[in-house]
Amino acid sequence: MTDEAARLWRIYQTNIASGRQFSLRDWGLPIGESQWSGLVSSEAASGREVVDALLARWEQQSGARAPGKEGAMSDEQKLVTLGLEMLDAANRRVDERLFGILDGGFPINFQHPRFLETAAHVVCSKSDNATTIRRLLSRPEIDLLLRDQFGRQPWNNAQYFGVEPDLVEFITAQTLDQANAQGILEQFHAENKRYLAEWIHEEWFFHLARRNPGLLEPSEPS
Amino acid sequence: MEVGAQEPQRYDAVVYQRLRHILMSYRVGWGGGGNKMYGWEDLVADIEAATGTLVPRRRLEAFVRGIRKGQSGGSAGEQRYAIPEPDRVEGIIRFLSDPDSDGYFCDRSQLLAPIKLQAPFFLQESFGRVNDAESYFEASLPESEAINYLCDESVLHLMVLIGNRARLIDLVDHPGEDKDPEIYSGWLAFSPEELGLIALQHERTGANRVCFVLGVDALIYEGDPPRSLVLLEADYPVDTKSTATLAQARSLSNHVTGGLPARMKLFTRGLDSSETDSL
Repeated sequence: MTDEAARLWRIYQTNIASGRQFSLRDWGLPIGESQWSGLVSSEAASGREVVDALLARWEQQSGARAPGKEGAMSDEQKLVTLGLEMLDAANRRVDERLFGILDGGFPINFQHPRFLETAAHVVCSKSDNATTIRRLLSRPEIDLLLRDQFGRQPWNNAQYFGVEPDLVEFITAQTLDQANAQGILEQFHAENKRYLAEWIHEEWFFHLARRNPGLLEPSEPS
Repeated sequence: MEVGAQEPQRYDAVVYQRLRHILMSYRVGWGGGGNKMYGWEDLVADIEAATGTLVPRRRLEAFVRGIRKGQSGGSAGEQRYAIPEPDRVEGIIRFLSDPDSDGYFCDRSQLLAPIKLQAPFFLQESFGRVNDAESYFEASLPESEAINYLCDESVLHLMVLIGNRARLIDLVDHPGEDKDPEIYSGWLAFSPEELGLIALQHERTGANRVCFVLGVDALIYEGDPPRSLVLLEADYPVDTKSTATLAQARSLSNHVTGGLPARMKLFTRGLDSSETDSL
């Protein structure tokens, strides 16, 4: 286990202890329990087989990096590490690694232990990323209503971090459809308004304008 | 303009960004009661009904949704947002800040409030007085610089791009992997002994990175921007026990010293790749 993973693991445990985040155990582990099957790709085998495959993948990827240490980790720890790798792949735009882990049955809605970001948050915060965004959002299990530590949903990231307008509208429409399907559209709008009132005072909210002062320019005379 | 009429005010980018994002969320969200068919024309009509100000659809859309500039051939062009004329901006502000308006979002003072500068947790806890530094943020920072800074006495505000654009020489962080620039902003504070300490915060995630300054251009003391910074990144906390054995102590020592090359960072700006390659 790398130092970074060990550090995040401690934070993850703290989050769980403080009730801020669900653990993988809450999501369906210990292995083989029924909830797990609801979190994995429908094409993949459910239960123990999926977890075994994911653990084998983890052994293959991480065992080589930290030989001898993997034995001390619980299965849950290993899966969190694999989740971090998935988010890292999303951040670095390494689609092969990202979708490889997902195709292995890893929960697509895994949240970063500290930042609470999902893969959707990460890919939706990057411009020129249309193919990956559409590919990820085409997966039926994806939950676009999960919030990161600031309360942002993926469509918020798309809007605030410079994703192309057409794509922002695509992500937004899909998010609204999910809220509508769950019968929480009104609550969704109320929460969004409440969060927005906080965000307009946050530094990250002005990310685009700060990076690019020429972004906003006066209209040409009509 | 009529004699005695107040000239419409112009605002800084923070205010325009706020207005844009609120209008966008209004259009797809609570505007029109969440009606999916609520469109730009409806927003134009709502603003006019509430304030008497007509912001033509194309003007509104160019402001909120943006337009592509410099589109040619296979190039998609750059996204830009056109700020409407000042009187129309005033109308939008009234629409969003008048409690009697359908578009009421918050008070005018909140809409126009300056950005709150947030030091990373580490500095907040270690240097409680950095709140005074809020004013440092007001000057616009040059966009093209990899390391932007503003200096006043002993505190610098930094904006650092980590990644290809910043030409960061990172000794271990996935060399050769083409990754997006990661943007951090934060603070460089000098102690009375001129020990520099940088606390940076990742813009999207809020992750902290703390570094000590090992070296900096002498130019900085003449008021010029530094060309390069050599940093030592503070390592993550290491679990130690008071009853550590000698082996454990050696292990800790090895951990700290063994990780030094990985924690050395060199930030440069204004150098081309041939120069940085030789560093």
